[in-house]
Amino acid sequence: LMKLRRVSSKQWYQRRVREVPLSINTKTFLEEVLKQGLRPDARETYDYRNIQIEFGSRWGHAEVVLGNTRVMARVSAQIEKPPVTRPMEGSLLFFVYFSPMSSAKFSGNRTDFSTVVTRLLERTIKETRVIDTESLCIVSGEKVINLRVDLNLLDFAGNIIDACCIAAMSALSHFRRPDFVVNGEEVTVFTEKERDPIPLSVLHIPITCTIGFAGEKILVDPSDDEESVMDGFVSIATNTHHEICYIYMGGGVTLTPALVSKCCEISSLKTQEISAQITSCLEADAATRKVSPENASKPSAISSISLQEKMDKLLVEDLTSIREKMETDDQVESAQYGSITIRYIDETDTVDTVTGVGTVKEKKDQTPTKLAAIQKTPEKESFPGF
Amino acid sequence: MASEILSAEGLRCDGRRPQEMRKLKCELGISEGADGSALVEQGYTKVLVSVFGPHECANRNTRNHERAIISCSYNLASFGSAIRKKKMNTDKKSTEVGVMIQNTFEAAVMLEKFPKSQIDIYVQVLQGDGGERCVAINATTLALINAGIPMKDYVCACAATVYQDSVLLDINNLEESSRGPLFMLAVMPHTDSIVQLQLDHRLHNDHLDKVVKETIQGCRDIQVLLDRQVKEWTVEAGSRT
Repeated sequence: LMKLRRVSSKQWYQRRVREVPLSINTKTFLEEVLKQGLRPDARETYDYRNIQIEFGSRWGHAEVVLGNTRVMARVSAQIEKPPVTRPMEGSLLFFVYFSPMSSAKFSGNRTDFSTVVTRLLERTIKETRVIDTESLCIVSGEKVINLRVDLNLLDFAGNIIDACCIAAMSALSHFRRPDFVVNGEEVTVFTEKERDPIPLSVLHIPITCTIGFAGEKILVDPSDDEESVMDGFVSIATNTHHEICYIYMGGGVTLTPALVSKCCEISSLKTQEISAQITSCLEADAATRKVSPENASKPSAISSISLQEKMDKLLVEDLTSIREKMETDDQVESAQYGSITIRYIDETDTVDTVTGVGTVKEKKDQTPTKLAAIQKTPEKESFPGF
Repeated sequence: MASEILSAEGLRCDGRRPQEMRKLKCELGISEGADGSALVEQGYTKVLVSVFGPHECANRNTRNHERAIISCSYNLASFGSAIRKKKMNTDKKSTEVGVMIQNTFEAAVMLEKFPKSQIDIYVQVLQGDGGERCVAINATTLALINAGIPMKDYVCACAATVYQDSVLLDINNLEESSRGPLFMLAVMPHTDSIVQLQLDHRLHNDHLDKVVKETIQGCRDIQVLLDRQVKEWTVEAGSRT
């Protein structure tokens, strides 16, 4: 039996695995392969590796696997006060983390390259106005929805930039923000339980296409072998409207204007394919959730009851009315957003807390039995008395 | 706002024609402590660059046994922009521009001549009125020449935007904040090889070729002026005993 040695977090941090450099044999082999006009993994020049897009159970959770490079993206929203300079817009922040488990190269510290990728995503997605930030404003100058996209590199096999961009765009297209209603001075923000959350208004979908250069050879979507021998690369983000959204050149390579045009064309073609794939994956995911696109923005039955005000304050006074309403509400059981847990502490059946855990169906069965148990015990105790 | 960028007569907000560049003033060797330095002013944008090297690489991990490495640090002075910059520590944008300048010169400088060494480039933007990255690249070229570091060619950079189908070269702050496409190109003018290419906001594919062609012409014009200054400085430095 191996006992796991407890390593303090500081020691683990310092004990970084140093990346093993490429051996001369491997390097010579890769250079020869590229010189002969082939690619080490037998792809054609313009072929991308296989892209898989998966969505998690929570809205805004996307995982993209590009070949073997795996990136997970999560979108979250918070309601905050906007800065004085931009009172009517929400904001979008990107955080990219190269996890040390993805490769020996990454120690988990913020490196220049991770900053470059974060900025690249900001410039491709935020500055080209992919999300309509004015629709995220609740009360001008007081409350706006700030979105945060966290990207985690879980496995590295070349071409982080494309994987991150596809993951970020998939997550943003998938995410649903809370619905709110402004009545004069009063603002009501509905929880996921009360009203279905609304998708973000995504105006266009820019996708980056990274093209590496090794001598004369063009490598579209370089794998990690190719990245270690290439001279430099170019990342071009285009959208389906034939607009170039961002160009980034990395490393010591020079281009000609003709080559730039060619790369933009390649990027356009790839964007069409990948955007189509994102759209079809989103539709497939929507089908599995049994929430049809037309019903998505309609409020569920429970919102018409005064229950919503009580939910906001996390206090429920009238237990019986809740139980009645739960039994009549059919839409509640199909919701996957979590449901009401009602715990009561003593025989007076006062409600302790209202949280969102488990499914309503289970609790519905439990509530009568629990009540029955409480009622039964006094009788049992009195029986031996006779 | 729209008519300020390009008036009906075809004049920009500062009275220039669309293809006209701003006035360029440059000076080499102004910083005594550095191996090479240069100050370049394009319009109201003023950038000072100091170069140290090639010297021994301080960090063993980043040392490359085949060629020199370039490390660049870009800093916008707190008094350099219209609104005083509060954050004094390095933020994402400064890191990104530093990496961009480093990438640009990796293609232009003959790094194979100095294995295991390091070249440090310190860029300080004293006054920012649009096109700071381009002026920084131009100033770095001059500073590297001043330091005597061998390069394949001048690296000249120029920024452009597209407004109503006409290409505006060497954009200033007002034109940068107009939300039109921002295109920056750094070129080695004798061979027309593009060393750096950056695009912000959206540019339609159809405009690309035109923008690239006009920007390369702008870079060639800058190279003529830089070359003139370098020759003047060489004569002056050579005549000093």
